[in-house]
Amino acid sequence: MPAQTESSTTASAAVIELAGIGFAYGAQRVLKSVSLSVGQGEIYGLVGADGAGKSTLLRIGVGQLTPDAGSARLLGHPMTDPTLRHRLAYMPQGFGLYPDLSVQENLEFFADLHGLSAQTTQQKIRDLLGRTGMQAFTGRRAGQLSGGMMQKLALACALISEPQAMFLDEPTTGVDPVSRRAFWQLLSAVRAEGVAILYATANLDEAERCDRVGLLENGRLSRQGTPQALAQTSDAQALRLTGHHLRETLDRLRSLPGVELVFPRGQQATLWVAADVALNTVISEIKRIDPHCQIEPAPASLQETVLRELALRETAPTSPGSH
Amino acid sequence: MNLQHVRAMARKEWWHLLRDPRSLALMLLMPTMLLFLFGYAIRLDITAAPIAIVDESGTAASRDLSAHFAASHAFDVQGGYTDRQSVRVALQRGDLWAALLIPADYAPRLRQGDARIQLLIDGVDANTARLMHNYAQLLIRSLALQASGKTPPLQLEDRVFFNETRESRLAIVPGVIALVMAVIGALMTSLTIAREMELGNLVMLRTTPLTRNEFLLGKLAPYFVLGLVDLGVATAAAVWVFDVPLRGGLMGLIGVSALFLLVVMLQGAMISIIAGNQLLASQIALIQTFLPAFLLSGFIFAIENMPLVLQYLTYAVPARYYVALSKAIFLKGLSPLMLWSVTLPLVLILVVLLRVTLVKARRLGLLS
Repeated sequence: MPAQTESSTTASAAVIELAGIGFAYGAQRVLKSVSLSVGQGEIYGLVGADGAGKSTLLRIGVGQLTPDAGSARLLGHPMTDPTLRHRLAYMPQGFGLYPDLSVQENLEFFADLHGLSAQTTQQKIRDLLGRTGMQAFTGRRAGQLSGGMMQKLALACALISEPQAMFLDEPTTGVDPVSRRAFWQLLSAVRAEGVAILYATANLDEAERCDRVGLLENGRLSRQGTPQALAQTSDAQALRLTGHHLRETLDRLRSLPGVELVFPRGQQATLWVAADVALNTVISEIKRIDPHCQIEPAPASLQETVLRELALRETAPTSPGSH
Repeated sequence: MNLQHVRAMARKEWWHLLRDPRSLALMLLMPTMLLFLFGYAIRLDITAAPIAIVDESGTAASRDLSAHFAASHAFDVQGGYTDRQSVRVALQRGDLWAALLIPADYAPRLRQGDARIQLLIDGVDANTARLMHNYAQLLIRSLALQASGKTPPLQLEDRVFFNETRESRLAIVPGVIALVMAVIGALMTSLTIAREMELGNLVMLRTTPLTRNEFLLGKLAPYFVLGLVDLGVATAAAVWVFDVPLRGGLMGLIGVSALFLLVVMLQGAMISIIAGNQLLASQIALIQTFLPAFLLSGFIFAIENMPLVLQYLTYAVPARYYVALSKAIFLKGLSPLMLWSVTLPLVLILVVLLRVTLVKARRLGLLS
C-alpha cells in the first residue's frame, strides 16, 4: 500500500499515465511496451502512420481495452475505477455523435449521462456554444453539419463534463485547414485550463503544435520529446533555399556532393547536407548553379526531420552504404 | 441505477424513432397491414364456392336437391352448365371449383332407396377441396334424412362454444396480434442496439458513466410503450373491424401482452447485441421470432397436428403461449391467472432471457 500511495503522489503531475503497455489482436502484436505520461495542461501528440496502433493505445487509455502488459492510470487511479468516467473525455474517430439529433440535443444527452442538473446543463451548453461559435446552429441536426462544425460539436460534447483528461483520436481528419486552425485555438484554450490531452494524429504539422510528441512505429515509441528536440538531428544540416528557378535546378542540386535530399515546396526548398560536409562549399556550389537563390541555414522542423528519415530509410535498401 | 441516465437514453431513442420515417412506418403501418392481410386473406372456411349442377334427371326430386345447394352459403350455383363436358372444361379453367352431376335415373333410384350422385371437385387446393366435400356431404345427409321421412335412431346435437358460428376469423385475429407484437418487439429492438454499434456511438458511450442496465432499459422503454400502443390499435381493430368479441378482461389482455412484449423485446435486444449490425440482426430477428410466431405458435396450424418433434419445439416458442392466452382471453373470457399453466412458462422464458441478455450485454463494454 505505501508503495502505491507513493507512486500516485509522485505521479501527481502526470494525469495520464501509460506504463509498459503491450497489446495484441490475436497473433498480431500491435503495441510493445509503450510508456508515456501526459501532465496537467499538456498536449501530448501521439504520432504514427495509419495502423500504427494509435487508436488502440487511446482505447487502452480510456479503459475500453485491457492491455496484455503494463498499466493505464488516470489521476493515479487504475482505469478500471468507474469514478474516472466523469473525469475523462474521449473523441473517437468519426466523433460518435448522433446524426439525427440536433446540436443542442447531442449536448443535452451527454450532459445527462454525466449527471449534470438541468440548470447547469443549459449554462454549460451556452458557454460551449459561445466558445465554439456554434450559437446559430443549436437546432441543426449533427448529420447536417460540416466536418469542421461536427468536430467542434464533438469537442463541446467531450468538454461538457469538465474533464481533466482528454483522449482525441485524429480529430482533424477530413477537416479543412481553416477549421483545423480554429480547432487548435479551442484546444489551446482547453490546455490553458489545465486539461491533459493525449492527441493521436498522423499529421506531422499538427504534432508540431503539441507540447511533447511520441513517434509510434512498429508498436513502440521510437522517440519522445518536445517537437523542437525531436527536430534536432546530429547527422545532417539543413539549408533553406528561396528562389524562382528552384524547380528547374532541382536535379542539379540533388547531384551536388554532400547533398542528401532536397524537399521542394513552392518557391522554397529544404536541402539536407551530410554532417561531415562543409556548408560553405555547398553554398558556393548552389550559388554557381542559381546565382539569384537566397540561402539560409534552416531551423529544422519536426515534419522535415521525420520526412528525411523516412526518405533515407526508403532509399537505404537499394543503395547500401551510401549513408 | 441512475434514472437520469435511463431517461436520457429513452428520450434519445424516442427521437431516433420519430425522426426515422422507416422505423416509424414499420411501427405504425406494419400492425395494421398484418391485421388486415391476415384478417381478410386467411380463410379457413369457404363461402360462395362456384359450383355447377348438371341436372340430367330434370325431375322434382333433382330440382329439390339443386335448391338445397343453391340455398347454402358455402356454394354459389353457376348457371349455364348442361353437360358433363362443359363442366370438365370449366373445372380445368378454374371457373368452377366443383360440379354436382345428377344422373338421369336419379328420381327412380331415390324411390328405391339407392340413388347415386357425383361430386366433381377441383383438388388442387386440398384444403378447399376437403371443405367443399364436407359441406356437400352435410347437405346431402340432411336431404336424405328429409326424404326418408323418419328420424334416425342416433343423432348428434352439437353446440359450438366460444366461436358459435365457427368462423376462422375469430381464431385468427387474436393470433395476428401475437404476430404484430413479435414483429414490433423483436424486429425493431433488434435494430436499435446494432445501430449504436454500427455508427460507433457505443465507443463514445463506453467512456461515460452509463451502465449497461441503464443503457438497455433506456433503449427498450420507448419500444415497450409503442408496442402497447400497437396492441391497443390491434385490439380495437379486432373488436370493431373484425367483430371478434373481447370476452375476457382488458387488464388481463394488457398484462399478458406486456409480458409477451418484454419477452420478444429481450429476444430482439439479444439478437442485436450478438449480430452487431443492423442487416444481420433484422434477418436473424425475422427467422427467430416472426417465422416461429407465424408457423409454430398454433396461430394458423394446430400444434396438435404437427409432427412430434415440432410439437416439442413449439414449447420454446414464446408466441405459442401468447396465442393460446390471447385466444382464451378474447373468445373464452378467461383470465391469465386461470391459465397459469400457460402464463407461467412465459414468465419463465422471460426470466431466462433476461438473464442471458444481461450476460450477453457485457459485450457492449459499458459499465456494469
